[in-house]
Amino acid sequence: MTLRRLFLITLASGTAASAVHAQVARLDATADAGVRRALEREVVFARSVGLPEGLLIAKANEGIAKRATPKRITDAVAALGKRLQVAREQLAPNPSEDEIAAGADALYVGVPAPILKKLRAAWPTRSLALPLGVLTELVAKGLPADRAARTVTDLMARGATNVQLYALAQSVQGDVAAGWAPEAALDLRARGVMSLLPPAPAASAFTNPRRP
Amino acid sequence: MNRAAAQAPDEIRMEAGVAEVRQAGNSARAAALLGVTWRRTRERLATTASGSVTVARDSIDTAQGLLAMRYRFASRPHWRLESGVAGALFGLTSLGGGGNAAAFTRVQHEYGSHGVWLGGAAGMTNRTGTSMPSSAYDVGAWGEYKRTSGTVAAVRTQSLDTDLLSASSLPSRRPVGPYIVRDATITLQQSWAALDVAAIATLRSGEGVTRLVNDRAFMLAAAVYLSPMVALTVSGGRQLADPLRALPDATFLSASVRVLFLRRDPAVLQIDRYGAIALMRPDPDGGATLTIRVLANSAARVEAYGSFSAWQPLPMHWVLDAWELQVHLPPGPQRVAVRINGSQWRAPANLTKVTDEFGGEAGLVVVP
Repeated sequence: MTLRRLFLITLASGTAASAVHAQVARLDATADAGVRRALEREVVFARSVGLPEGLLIAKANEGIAKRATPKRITDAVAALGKRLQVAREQLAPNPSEDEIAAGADALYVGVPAPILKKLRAAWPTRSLALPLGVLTELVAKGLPADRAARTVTDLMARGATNVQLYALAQSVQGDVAAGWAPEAALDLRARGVMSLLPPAPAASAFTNPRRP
Repeated sequence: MNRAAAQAPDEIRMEAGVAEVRQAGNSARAAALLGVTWRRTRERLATTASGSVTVARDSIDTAQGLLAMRYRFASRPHWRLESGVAGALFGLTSLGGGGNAAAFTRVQHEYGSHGVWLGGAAGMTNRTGTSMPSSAYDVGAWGEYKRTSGTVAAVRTQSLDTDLLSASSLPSRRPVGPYIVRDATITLQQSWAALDVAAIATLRSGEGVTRLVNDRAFMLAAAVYLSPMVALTVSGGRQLADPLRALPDATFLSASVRVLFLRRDPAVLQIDRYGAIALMRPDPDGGATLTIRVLANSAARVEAYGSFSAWQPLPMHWVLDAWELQVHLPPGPQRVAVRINGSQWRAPANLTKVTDEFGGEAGLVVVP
């Protein structure tokens, strides 16, 4: 190893460390030293695999603002790091930061990881941030994840727009608040959106058509 | 904000209780109290109507009604005009039955958490066929700091209702012709998580119309909130004679239950917890404006926080008849929560509730 190469490596690792310190500096000044160290580790890891490390710092600050214990904060940050990683893998090949964040949110409310991959298959090139948000809201509202995902994916495959998906979630929310069962509300509202869409060009990622 | 105000739910407050009342110079009597207040808030106009019945088998026997409106000027948002009419029917053992009607107008100028007002009122009391007019004007100021709020006011009342004074205020001599009383009143209110305490002190001067040249009265009231919708209230003290409303001088001690009902507005659908709602309006440039409104009249401090504020609490401000905050949200899933008087953070009732890793809850908003 030449001296010049050694100098470049040192410079690079120094620059990376500075960047991590700059990120962690956004952590609340009242943060526990243990939280700060754990966060630095998570940020270093997130940076190495290309995850949006800002979300980890925001989660730590959320825990500090909510006066959570240091252990709870470090656990929450570590769990978020894992969800971000899973979301990025499932939303491959080139998910945006917004998509990764929305995917991690969906995982948090109980959406199984493979469903994220099916959503990506339905919209390979368009942003999944809003569909994932809608799915998260539906599941948090009490709908079974696979049922909600099937509906959202079918609508996406049929060419529904973000506005239509958003309106679907709003309508279901209103119906549930008015006393409807979540699944009945989803069925009704999805049929309403479907009626506005052209016929499906192909089976959705959730269907497995069998021909005789 | 306009849309949010237009969708604010109607509010009905019912209060029922018992009291022990003793008019000046008379023995104590038990009384039953029942009151209903209805309030509706629209874009610039807040309307309040209330009715109450007090049964005490003496001069306190009364059925009262009030209709008041408060208007905020579009071109001058710091100014408000408040007007109303009030009426009462009463059965007076000592003075005979009768009725009373009054109208009032008040102009308020608000500077954030404090303000001043100037007002005037006129009333007529008819007792045993004799009409006795009264008039008053008042100036005052209010302010709040953290969980403490207060008012100071000066009131000058002129009246021909000499019967009221002679029956209940033990005047040194029965007034002949119009008499004048001047009141200085201080009100202080302190709120804790589930407890509100208020104290009202009044100093009165009125040459020749009261037993003492200077008179004074003190009232204390407390409300314990069993839930955001139900409170137990106790109050006691002395109320000086009020010629404008034909109320006699009396000491009292009362206890009651207060229940708040919020009408289920079709636009909001579900309102329970604190009456907190969050309404989103997509912005043409992307993202959305979220308006959070909290109906908590007795609260001293209402805050909101969420992913939009990096979970730092933001103070909400009193706008017309509710606490309100508007924030701009970027596209994507966002979380929002509110709290009252430093209590637990809660999701606005009309949003999907999610719990976080720290044991708290928030409402989920997906911004298109």
